[in-house]
Amino acid sequence: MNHVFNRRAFVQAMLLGSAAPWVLRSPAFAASCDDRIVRVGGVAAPDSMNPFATWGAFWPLVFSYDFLVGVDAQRHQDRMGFAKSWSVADDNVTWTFKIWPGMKWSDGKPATARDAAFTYNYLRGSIGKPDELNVGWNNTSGLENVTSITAPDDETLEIVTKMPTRWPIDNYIMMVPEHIWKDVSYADARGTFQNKPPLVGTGPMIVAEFLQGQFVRLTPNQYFRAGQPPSAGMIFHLFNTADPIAQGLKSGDLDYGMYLTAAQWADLSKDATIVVGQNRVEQRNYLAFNTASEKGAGSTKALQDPAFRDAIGYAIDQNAIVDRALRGHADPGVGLVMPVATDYYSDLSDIKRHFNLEEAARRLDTAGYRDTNGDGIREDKEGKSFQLELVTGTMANLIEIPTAVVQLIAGWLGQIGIPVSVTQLDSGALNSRTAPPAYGGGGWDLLVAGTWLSPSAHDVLGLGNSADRQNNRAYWKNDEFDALLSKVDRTADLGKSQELVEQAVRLIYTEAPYIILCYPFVLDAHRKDCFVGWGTQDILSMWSYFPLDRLKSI
Amino acid sequence: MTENIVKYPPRGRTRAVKRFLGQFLRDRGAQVGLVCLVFFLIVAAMPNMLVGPLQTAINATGDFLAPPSGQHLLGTDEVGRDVLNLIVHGARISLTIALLATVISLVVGSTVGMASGYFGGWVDTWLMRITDFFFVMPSFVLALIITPVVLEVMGRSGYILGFRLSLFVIITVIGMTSWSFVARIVRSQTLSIKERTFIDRARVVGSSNLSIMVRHILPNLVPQIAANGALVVAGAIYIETSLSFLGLGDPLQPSWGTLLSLAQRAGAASAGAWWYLGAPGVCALMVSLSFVLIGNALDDTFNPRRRAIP
Repeated sequence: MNHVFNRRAFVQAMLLGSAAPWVLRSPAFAASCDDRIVRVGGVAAPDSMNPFATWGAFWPLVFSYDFLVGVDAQRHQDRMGFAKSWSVADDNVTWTFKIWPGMKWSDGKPATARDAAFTYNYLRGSIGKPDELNVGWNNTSGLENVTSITAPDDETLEIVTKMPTRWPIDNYIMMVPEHIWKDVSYADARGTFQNKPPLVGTGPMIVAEFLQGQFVRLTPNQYFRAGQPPSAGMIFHLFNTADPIAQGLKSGDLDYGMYLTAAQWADLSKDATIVVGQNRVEQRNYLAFNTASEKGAGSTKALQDPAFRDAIGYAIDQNAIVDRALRGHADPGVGLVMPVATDYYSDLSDIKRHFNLEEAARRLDTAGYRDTNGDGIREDKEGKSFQLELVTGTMANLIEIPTAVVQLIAGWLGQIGIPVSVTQLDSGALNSRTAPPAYGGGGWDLLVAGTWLSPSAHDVLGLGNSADRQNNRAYWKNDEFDALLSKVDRTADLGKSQELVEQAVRLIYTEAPYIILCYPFVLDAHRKDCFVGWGTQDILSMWSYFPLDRLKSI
Repeated sequence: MTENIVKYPPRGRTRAVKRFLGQFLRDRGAQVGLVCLVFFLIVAAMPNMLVGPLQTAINATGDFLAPPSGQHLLGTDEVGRDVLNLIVHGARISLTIALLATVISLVVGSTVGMASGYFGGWVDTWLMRITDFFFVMPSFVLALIITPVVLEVMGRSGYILGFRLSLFVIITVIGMTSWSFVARIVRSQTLSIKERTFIDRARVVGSSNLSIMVRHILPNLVPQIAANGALVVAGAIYIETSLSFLGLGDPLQPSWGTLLSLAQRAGAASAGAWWYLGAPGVCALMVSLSFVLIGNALDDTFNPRRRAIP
């Protein structure tokens, strides 16, 4: 009898135990606002907390480290980086930055101009060595144009460049403390050094715990220069799809979620306790042609012909892509510059291609790509029927490109007699497939992908830069464009820089190695019940820790 | 002369088939499975007559993720295509993949199993070690690894019989990864059959090995192959659905798995669009379930304990 009773109790306990997680997750037990911890969910996969070793840890490192100036400080008066103010001398090469007086690292040690100088010189010292620091978010790109970086005193940083350039304020290198990093060798910094939490930074929220693939816990920085943030900390939940984010927002488990899909966003916008937002960002989604002519070339020589690419441009309806595939959550694509880069944006209205399949067909005929054997499929100049392979996939750290975009493009091209087959790849395979032919890539015809770089002139033009292995996926090389770009790199004056960018953008638009499809928005949402202080233009900045420094619980 | 040794005389054979069908159709599972399967075969045979041509992102007219209504019986997807239209066209693709993959898997499995059991010795050892490899390796994982490689080699361009070439990649992969357990069963059955006297007689009159295998052993293996074939189909549908769900399918040719994948990527589950996830899911479930039911019924009917050994 006793024996039977024990077994029953055991089974009951087991059943209760298995039900516990379910009960705890139900709304009744959902996270309340009492603990004043901000819960954020995003599609992100940081693999290390070392900004020199990985590109993938922007979230959450941006909450813990400052940029010297960066994007947000130039756009918003109330958001600042490591520097309080900056100026450039008349020679256009000597930049002086004033660092916040009395600033401290999160471990209480003083944070001065010497730390900033150390960060830059640490990177610069690795240039040309076998362990050059060029594999992560903090990398040497741009530092080759620098003559010297010095800290005359604790509050002044001086950067002298070899030629006029806006790099000193446009760069997004995260400032790290000298007393932590001075003993780390380059080989370790680029590889094995994990930079274990708790981190030491100047941002408002300090990474205190990191569990890969699950969450990052951050605690408020009591030494933050604007005073300790009012919230009690933050938990950044890492997901690989947007489904749990939308569910978490609905149930109250999350205060903020980013990278929602259009369907989820529409569904959440009906919820009275949730505010949805859409945020213009620097991402561009494009259709690239494989313009390589020798190794790694595509299936037909037509891809190397600007007239062919131009004709295809008339068969792509950017407005339909925005309306049907992205449901209005994007700006239709025109040129290389995204609307959010207001300094350089232009709508190119005088040379813009307008969607017209007949025009596209006519231009293909004129360019010599006719359907001579009457089977409905055009032939290239060698007499071979077109059959283009389009590769696509989701790249890491980007807003996902909906499959419908690819379906639409394949449909339109099919209608003008150019059949397209589609290969979807994961981000690693896509990267190696579209790497430069010298690095084993190539062999594809069309690519639908995206990039998300800073709005600086150099980055905006990166798609056409023949020296940019990472971004120039069309393998396009044009001497005139490269010359314009190198002039841009040597220009600090904004007006002159705008002129040069405009010329370069028009050149690449007519040559059409890329058809820009759209500039998608980040879709996000926050709950109203626990915190105030969220942004209005952007709920959460995509370039800094705003508004984690000022979120207050209700 | 040798034919008459194992084959039934014509009338006896008809009777045997009748007896088999009578017994098979009495099985409740077989009835359900057959009805379900015939329904989906009809649907797959004439999608254009039932729902019109395949809708694409370009010619879609519906609203975005509209719930089921009179106009769209199963609602619409994230670009406004009718889900019913996609499901019906997807049936053709899913069933084609499953059936062709099964044929490949049965041909390979029977050949390997029969050769292995009949010849014995080092042939048996080597063939069975290869089979073991495919047997211990979960076929889905293997398919996951092989698919990108085969895609790279074969490419995706062109059409065969109105289907995109990429479809045949999936078919080949599933076929190549699911034959091992057929080979095992066929081998064990071959081992027992080859000891029977009629095989000795055939050998004595001078039949070649190939002719003995094809004419005398193979007919006696049909029950096992048929019963297992039905189970392989169920597995093939499952693998196809999973592979496409993971994005290895062709987004331009919607199979049920591709639809599930698209629904998941569009966030249908958390946006409350149950029809978009549910419809292809239920279809895949029903077809594989009916194949399992038929397979089990065949197995029961052919059960040696109820069957007179010829």
